[in-house]
Amino acid sequence: MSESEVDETNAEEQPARSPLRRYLPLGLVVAFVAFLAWGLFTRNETQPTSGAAAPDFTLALFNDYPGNIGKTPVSLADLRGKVVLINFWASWCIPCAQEAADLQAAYQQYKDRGVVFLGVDYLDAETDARNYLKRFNIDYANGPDLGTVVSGRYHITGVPETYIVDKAGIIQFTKISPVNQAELAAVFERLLK
Amino acid sequence: MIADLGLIALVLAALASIYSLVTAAMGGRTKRADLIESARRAAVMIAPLLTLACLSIIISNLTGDYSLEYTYRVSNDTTPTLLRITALWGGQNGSMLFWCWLLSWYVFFTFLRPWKSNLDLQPWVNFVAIGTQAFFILLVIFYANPFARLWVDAAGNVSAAVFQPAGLRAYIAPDGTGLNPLLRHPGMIIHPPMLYLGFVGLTIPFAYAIGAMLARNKTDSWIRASRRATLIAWLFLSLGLLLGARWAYDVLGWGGYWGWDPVENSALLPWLVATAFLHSVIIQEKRSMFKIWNMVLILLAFCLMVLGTFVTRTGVISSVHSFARSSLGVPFLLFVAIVFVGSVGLMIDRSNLLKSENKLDSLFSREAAFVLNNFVFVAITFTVFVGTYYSMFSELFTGQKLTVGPPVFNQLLGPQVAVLVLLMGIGPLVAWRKSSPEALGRMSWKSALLGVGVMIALFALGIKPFWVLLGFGLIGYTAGVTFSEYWRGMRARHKLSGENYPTALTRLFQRNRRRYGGYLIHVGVLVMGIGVIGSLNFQQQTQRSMEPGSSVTLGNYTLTYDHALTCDPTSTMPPDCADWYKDRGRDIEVIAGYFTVSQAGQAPVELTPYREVFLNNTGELSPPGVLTTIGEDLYVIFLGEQSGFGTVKVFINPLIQFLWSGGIVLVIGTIVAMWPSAAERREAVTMPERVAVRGVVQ
Amino acid sequence: MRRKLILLFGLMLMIGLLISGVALAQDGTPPPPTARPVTSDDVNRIARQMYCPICENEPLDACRTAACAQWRAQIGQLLSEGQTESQIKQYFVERYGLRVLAEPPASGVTLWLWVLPVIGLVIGGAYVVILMRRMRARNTASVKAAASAPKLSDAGDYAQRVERDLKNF
Repeated sequence: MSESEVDETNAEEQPARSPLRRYLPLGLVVAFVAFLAWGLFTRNETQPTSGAAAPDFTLALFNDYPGNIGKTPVSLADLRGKVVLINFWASWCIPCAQEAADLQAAYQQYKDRGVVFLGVDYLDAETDARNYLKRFNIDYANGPDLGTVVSGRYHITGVPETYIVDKAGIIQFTKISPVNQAELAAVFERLLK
Repeated sequence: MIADLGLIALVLAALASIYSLVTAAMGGRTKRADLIESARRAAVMIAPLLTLACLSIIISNLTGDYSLEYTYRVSNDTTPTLLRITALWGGQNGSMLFWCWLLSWYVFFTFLRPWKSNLDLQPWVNFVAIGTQAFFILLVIFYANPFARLWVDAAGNVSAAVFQPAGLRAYIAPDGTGLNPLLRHPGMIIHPPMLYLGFVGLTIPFAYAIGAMLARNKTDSWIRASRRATLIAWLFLSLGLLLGARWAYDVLGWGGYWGWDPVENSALLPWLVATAFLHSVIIQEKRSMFKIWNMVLILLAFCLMVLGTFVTRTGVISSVHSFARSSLGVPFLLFVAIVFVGSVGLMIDRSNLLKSENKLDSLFSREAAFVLNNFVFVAITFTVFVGTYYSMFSELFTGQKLTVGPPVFNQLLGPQVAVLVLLMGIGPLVAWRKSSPEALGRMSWKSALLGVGVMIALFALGIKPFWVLLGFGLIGYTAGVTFSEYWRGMRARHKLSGENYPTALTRLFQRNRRRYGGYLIHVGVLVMGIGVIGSLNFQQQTQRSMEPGSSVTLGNYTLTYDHALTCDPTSTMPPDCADWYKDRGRDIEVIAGYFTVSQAGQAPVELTPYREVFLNNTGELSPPGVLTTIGEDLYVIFLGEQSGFGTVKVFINPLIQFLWSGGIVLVIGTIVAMWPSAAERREAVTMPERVAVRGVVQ
Repeated sequence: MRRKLILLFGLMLMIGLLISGVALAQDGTPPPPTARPVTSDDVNRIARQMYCPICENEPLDACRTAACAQWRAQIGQLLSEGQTESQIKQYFVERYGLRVLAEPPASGVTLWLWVLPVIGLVIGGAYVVILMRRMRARNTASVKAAASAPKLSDAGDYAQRVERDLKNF
């Protein structure tokens, strides 16, 4: 049975296939591989590092947390000319609580010297987030990261993460663990010069 | 020292594979027997060399050689011996080496002896199989080398590299970090090797298919060999999937066994395609039809396997199972591109070889049934594919991330699987070439009656959902057909030769392992279907926070909470904890809940579900306490204790035992179908020469 | 002709089943009872159909992280405020995107998730029907010439078939 062979003469005469039909599968496969390549490269995109332009975003702030920005929604581009600290946090995040007091203290110290603080609340329930802000007496600008758009743009790997952007919109400092007041102060002094 | 030996063996294996690759291609082109033979010998050398490499990793783990990055990562001083051995595949780099090693044994057994048949194919099959092998070995050497050592610079920063980087000193870590606690469970120890065996096993049929096209072989003779190779891979894939489901059920603690997770799906996709191939290959063997189609299926199974591996190993799609993001991405993408574009391109170029005289005598024939079967399998594959990759598509085109969860798959696949079960009950009754609805009716009306009877009986018992009734009815019908096939075969033999029935059944299996083993697989699938329908539709669950001494009732069970026990190895533990740490690493916190289950008229049973919390923050497991009966599982998960209240989640998983027992039947059926019969063994010796002669003439 | 009809009917049935499966899925679910306090079971009933992005691919009711526990608490809160299941889902979708749903709606971006398999089925099915008809047409002549298939009316015939099949292997 298995060695029965179809003679070419016996085989049915097929009309020559049009090149489109012939190469359509190849085109589809090439497109799919290109798609995979795209997937790979976006997945492997890393966090913006110091020296890179900070990805722009727009954030709608919590009602009573305008901070020293005074408008909502705010976009990063609007803040050109100021030094901006972007802090990703969440109320369920234990290490965030470690740095909360330091962040607020640094804010008090620099809020009138052209520094803007922007808290981005990641995957949080609003009630818990507000309780957290009250607990640490935070009054700088804060808003929820709706649809995880902002965190997606910064490819954050967790919370807390902190970025400091200079007056020209270039990232000058990143940290993916809790920050302290002293190291923030050092960065601000350098950038405000 | 030992590790250096392993590295040398690995490099030699790489050289042997490259040598074999080049020689096989030259041998295939020039048809020089000495080159072909040399390529074969080089191919056979790889398995022993990789065995050495794997052994040296195991020895490093056993002796705790923490100068090796891999040993440092997957082992530590308190790791038990068995886990130090299985740690070979407990990390990304080691599992890649392990993968190569498994593949090398497939290659070894395929080329152990010079082929007697398909001589024209041998160099090309060798070329493709070894090409795949070479790719993975090189991937291990350059991108995932488990032989990398630890080095330290003047500032005390530790890094890993195979060779000493300039200015760095060798570093020996005082102790390792230990195996990922997730991978210490016995289920997780055997589930990956089975799945890997299934995955790499698909390389051999792929090599046959591509080899046949490269050799411009027009015969069907290679398809028989590739069918057996596919069946072996299929067996391991099935085992891997089943064990994975069982592991999830036993350990992950969410009450289910299959979550339609991208990693699970990427193992299911090649399985589905391989299943379709195992059916449609029968037509090619019997009727010499559908050559192109079978080629497509073999190539597709391998491509989906490579794709699944790429996606899970490089984090293109995220998943609970995914390995850390790694540098494998770009080389792996290149391999995917070569395999995909190469396969399709070659098929287009050689399509004239694959012409076959596809004739249907009737739309009501076994052939037609197989065509429909393949159509449904491919439709299911397509649906799972869309569901798995849709979130990637939507992210590309809209930036919107999506989750495609079980409800989507269940709804889209339910009807398709129902049609498949129906075909399973029709196909075996339809004769080759030509049959008629009347004949089908004559042969299956009793089974149909059985199916309807099942539906009526269940309806009378108060089961209302239409899909459930339809599902059980179809299972009843198809089971009726399958068993009557056995019965008819037995009775026929009994009448013909006077054998008694048990002998007749045994003979039936002996004479046609493939068909009757195949039916056994069908029975397994049907039994599993009962479990799937039951657990999908009749699961009950409740969650409670309870004081010690209080009870919760679910179904016929009353669950009483006694107390909780928290064991944190980083502080002093209550004496009861000693039992929990007999063979458990001290980097795991255990929180156990002690419960008693009582049922009317039965002795109470104690259940102790617990949580294992990994102190290095890599996650946790919740092995349930399970009370198993034939009809259902009482499945209890302990969520933890807070201010005197223990929180518990209780499930009743009906009919779930059918899933596992059906799985066992399926595996037995596969082994029966795979085992070479006496006739086939004879054939394997005699047939080849005829083919070989023609191979040379061509 | 009748066979074609059967074939077509089978195909239609299959597509019908698929579509009705999708349609059935869209049925509403009963609103949660509001008269009694909200239980964990009420919360889990909704959480089961959701995913929290912290635990990708693990349903919200099973995920053990603090973030997911908070989400469940939020569901309980919303339930006690008398919100319905769909309102609660909508609440989470607005904040965190469609990815929180285990079952994306069959509209907008996610429509294709539901439609693609059906399109595949229809196109594939049509192709298979055309192919099978063509394969049969190719053979009409030889069918007429060949003897009709043996009737399988009783066990004796079946025995012959078993033996014949065995020989063929």
